[in-house]
Amino acid sequence: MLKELNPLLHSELRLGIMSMLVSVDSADFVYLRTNTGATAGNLSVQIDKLQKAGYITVEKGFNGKMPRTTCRITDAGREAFREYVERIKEYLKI
Amino acid sequence: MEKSNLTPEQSINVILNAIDQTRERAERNAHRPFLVWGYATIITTLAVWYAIDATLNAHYFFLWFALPVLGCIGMKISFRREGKGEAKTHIERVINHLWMILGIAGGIAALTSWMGGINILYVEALLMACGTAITGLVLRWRTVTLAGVASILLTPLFAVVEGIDRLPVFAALFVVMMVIPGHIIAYKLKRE
Repeated sequence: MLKELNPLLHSELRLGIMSMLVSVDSADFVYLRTNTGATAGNLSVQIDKLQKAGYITVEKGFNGKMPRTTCRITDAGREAFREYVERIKEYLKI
Repeated sequence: MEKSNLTPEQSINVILNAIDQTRERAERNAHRPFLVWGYATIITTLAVWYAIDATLNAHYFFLWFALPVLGCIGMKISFRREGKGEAKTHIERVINHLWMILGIAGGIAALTSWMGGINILYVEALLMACGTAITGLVLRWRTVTLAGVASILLTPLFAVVEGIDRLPVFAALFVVMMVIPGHIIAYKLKRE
């Protein structure tokens, strides 16, 4: 029997964020917004959910005078992503 | 973009697209440090050579201090924010740390050379050529690796050429080591 997919990752925007973060060391909010095409409000909400789940860390700082929010994937996030991909592979039988 | 009923195929597409975009953006500006530091080194070296050759005044060696200034200004202009945000890959972090260590080693070698006893241009060229070759290997850029290795093989020229004439040799090495591969990569990235 196929196992259930992680509901937190089984959303297009959250999965997009995690996929970007899994392949980089860090990415800022503007980068994620540009590359996902999401609105700032929606992106903030989804980042917050991922942070509360312990999948990413969010660091607020400044770049010169501009505020900057940097996101990084955590070990728990990486493991959850790996499991998600494994289950997707089971579904697709690849 | 928010959807909750993704099919497994859509999930795989989301993952692959996101990873592709990230890789593409990370590689887009990777040639710039080579061009910035390559040209900054060549301009400074030729300025020192010309000034000393024309005046025979050793004080013009202080022109070397223009190199970090030119390089830093060039990097600042080259990497000014484009309003699209920033992402750092793991490889970029490794490369940044590699060049930071080489920069510190180069700085210490330069300070040591004031006390005499070492051929500073040889040491600097060798350090930077090794950095270029390693960068090429890590990024899997054959052109950069070959440029680095070719520069390492050319460094014995400093044993043949003497005195102030080592300066144009040093500048020429940076053409081979950084400027030519930098332009080749820029051309390839533009074409892609």
